[in-house]
Amino acid sequence: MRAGLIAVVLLNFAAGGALASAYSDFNAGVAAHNREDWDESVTRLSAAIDAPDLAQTFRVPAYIDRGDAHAARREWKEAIADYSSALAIKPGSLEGLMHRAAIYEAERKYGDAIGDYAQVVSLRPSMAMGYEGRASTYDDANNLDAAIADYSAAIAIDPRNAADYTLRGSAYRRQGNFQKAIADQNRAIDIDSKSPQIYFERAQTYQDEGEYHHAIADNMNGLRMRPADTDGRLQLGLSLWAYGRFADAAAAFTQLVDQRPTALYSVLWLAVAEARAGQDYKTDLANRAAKLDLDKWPAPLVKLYLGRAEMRDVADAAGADRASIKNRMCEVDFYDAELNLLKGDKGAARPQLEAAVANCPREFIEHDAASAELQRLK
Amino acid sequence: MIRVLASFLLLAATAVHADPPDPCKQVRITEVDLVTQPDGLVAVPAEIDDYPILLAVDTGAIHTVISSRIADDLKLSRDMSTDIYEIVGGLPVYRMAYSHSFKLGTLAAGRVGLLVASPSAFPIDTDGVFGPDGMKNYDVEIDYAHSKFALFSQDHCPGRVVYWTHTPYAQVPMRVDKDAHVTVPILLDGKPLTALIDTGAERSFMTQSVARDIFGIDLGALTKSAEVSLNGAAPTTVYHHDFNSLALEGITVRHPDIDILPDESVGRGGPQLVVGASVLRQLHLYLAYREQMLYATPAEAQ
Repeated sequence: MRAGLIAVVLLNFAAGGALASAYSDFNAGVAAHNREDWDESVTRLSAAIDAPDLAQTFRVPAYIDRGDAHAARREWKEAIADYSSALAIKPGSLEGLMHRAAIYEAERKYGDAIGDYAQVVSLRPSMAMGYEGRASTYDDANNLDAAIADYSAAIAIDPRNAADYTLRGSAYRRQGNFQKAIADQNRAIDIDSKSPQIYFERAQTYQDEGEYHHAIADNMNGLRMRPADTDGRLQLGLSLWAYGRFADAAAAFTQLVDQRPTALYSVLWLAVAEARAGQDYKTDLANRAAKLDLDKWPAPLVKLYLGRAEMRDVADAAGADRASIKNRMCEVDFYDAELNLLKGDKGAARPQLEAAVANCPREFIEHDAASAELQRLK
Repeated sequence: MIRVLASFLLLAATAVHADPPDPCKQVRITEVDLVTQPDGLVAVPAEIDDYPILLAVDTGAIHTVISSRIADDLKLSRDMSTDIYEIVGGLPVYRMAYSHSFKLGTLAAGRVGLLVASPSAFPIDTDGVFGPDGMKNYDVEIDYAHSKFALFSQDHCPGRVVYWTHTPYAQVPMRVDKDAHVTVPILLDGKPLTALIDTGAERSFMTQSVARDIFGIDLGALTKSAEVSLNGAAPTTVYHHDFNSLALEGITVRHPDIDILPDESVGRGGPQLVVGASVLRQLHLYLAYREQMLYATPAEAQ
């Protein structure tokens, strides 16, 4: 019998109610998931999952999609529970394993993440994604040798993936193996010359290597492609500062502070650069300080530069948080050393800079900046 | 490319149908369980050289395509296709691989030419797409709600195919082009459009030109938008507009989920509307390629 005059109206997108079947809830939940309407997705998929008549074949995608929705709402525990439910039904679900691993990774449960990625690698050894996920987790856990091995495995499978070269290059850089880092980043640029991130990554390698003019060029290349990138702008300012182009560095930091006027470190670095460029940093800093939250770290350092705090106040503030006292003290060493250099007191500045290099974690910008300053003092 | 088509023409049923001749009898050639993916797409289990794979059912594909990972794993012989094809998102596809055998349920074929694409073009749990070259010589039934995919003989009387329900159904003339893509007339918010039936599209979408010129939609006024990577290509901006209804003859889908994409990501001469799984999952479909007729009921009609 053909439908001629009678309209058959589907109710799938009507509000959930007595008329909604488990299947229509499932469909509506998947559709909401696909359009990133996470609340609706959780509501409709929960209704579908709770319905006894939802066919088993729909339960795996329902759990995975609801897990994604929970993850998007940063409900990690619920997300993991859903992915685990999907995996209990279908243990070999690559999507379930990959998504659960990503949540474990975000939660810094590195062992669990590596376990899931290892299963993906075992199930699909010729798929790069499992190696890439595990490499990223090893990377986060600072197990750089293992990360490099997995990035290399992914590259062997897909030699045209610029991201894998970039990430492996970053791992080599953090190992201090600059030659291999630059080789990987060059290869990544050969593959994808339009990615600003690769230029920023190579700039970081040049910066760590002390090749500041190359770092400046790469940061500028990246910013030409993505002018609003604040991390790239910060890197450019730091590379210009390290190279001794203080006025240019101040200009870069001014642009950065204009982009994010409440970022304390950006404002502090603007003051550092303006001071070294012989500009009136105190007036500029005082004008900008009104927009800053001066109750949190590193506000005491801002106050020190404004002349509104003494070193003992800064030291007291640094020591107030026992968990981060070492990191804060290394920062105090660096920024106070800069003030001592302004006063022409190289004798006081040098041991502070040496302490900053020794005590600041490798990824702190103060570590590299102190190294660059010590080079200048030679 | 002709070789691909020819290969699938040779798909042969191993089942024997020895019923007395009845010109109107509907003959099911094979039936397999559909596997629903988290993105709502459906896939069928198949075998290449006795290796089990999962292929997304894709009436909007160019041809049947497999992941390069499968082609590598099985060490399939390769060469270049005679043309370069683009899939949605602009990814070029131009490599061919050849199986020794290809099976779908009780259907089996020998050497089949398959296009090869990067694994990133497919959902993670699938190995490729089953394209219209593999379907166009059959009637195709897609029963989303009961997770069944069936192929029927095209030798039947016109109009006598909807066996699963006695409730009203839609019977819509469909145009089948040279690539075996299926387009049908639909009404979207009362405006007539030609729509491509694309089971391989996760969402339904139209171009910005259609949205602007036919529906007078001001893209600048749309609030929902997202950066989406289509088939692993560079991200493109997708807008969303809330339409009221999509009508396929007697069947109406309320508030169909439809995206608006940049013209260039769909390509020139594309359909006015692509109806993907977000809408199709609400239907039980029967595509009669030779009869050039689409039959549809609500998904759960029995």
